[in-house]
Amino acid sequence: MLNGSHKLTPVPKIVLIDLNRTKNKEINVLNAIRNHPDLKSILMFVITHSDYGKNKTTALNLNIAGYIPLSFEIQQLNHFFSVLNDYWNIIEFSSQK
Amino acid sequence: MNQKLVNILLIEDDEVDVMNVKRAFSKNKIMNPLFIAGNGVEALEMLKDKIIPLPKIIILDINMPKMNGIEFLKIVRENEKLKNISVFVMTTSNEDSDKIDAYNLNVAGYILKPLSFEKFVTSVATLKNFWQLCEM
Repeated sequence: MLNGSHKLTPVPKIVLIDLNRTKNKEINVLNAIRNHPDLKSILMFVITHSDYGKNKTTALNLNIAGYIPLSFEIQQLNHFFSVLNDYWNIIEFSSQK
Repeated sequence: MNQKLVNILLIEDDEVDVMNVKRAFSKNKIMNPLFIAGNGVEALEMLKDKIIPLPKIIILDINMPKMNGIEFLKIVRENEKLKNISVFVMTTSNEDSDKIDAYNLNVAGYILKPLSFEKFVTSVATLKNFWQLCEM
């Protein structure tokens, strides 16, 4: 979707990545985005459901915008999206596509 | 974030804006240690010479004398010990080129300083809520 033959246009300004499903696959995605000339400026938010300390350090070293522990309890999910939505509303993005 | 109270470095040359950040922090009961640098050169000295404890968060102005925010950010991102700090730009510059440069250097957010203090307090409240979601 970001780099293939059916890629999204314009490139998204924000990516939410769930780090829980496999331990390394998503870290590789983060790495690939940061090292891609057209994608490197994307704002990346990482969601995690359990503690992978090593992944946290790696993700923070890739300058993600936030490393956010999250459970699937409905109250916590509501709070999470409400805070994130407020945050996205106070930040500015370039008009560049 | 509240349990650990991470250090925050504010890099801002305008004394009125420094006061506004301090007041907005106080209104929002943000108790984190806040360190101030007046420009990029001063901030780099403070960070490299370990004059202050390493901050997890930097709030960065863009237009400053001696070294502007973008020049400072380039140096931070090339420094192994500093490159992973979360940087939030807080500026009056609405220039697209500044936004592009800042996001290319992977800031966590680019915030325009609101014109009224009340709106600024609200923006800082949103930042606080976001910081509390995140593990640093």
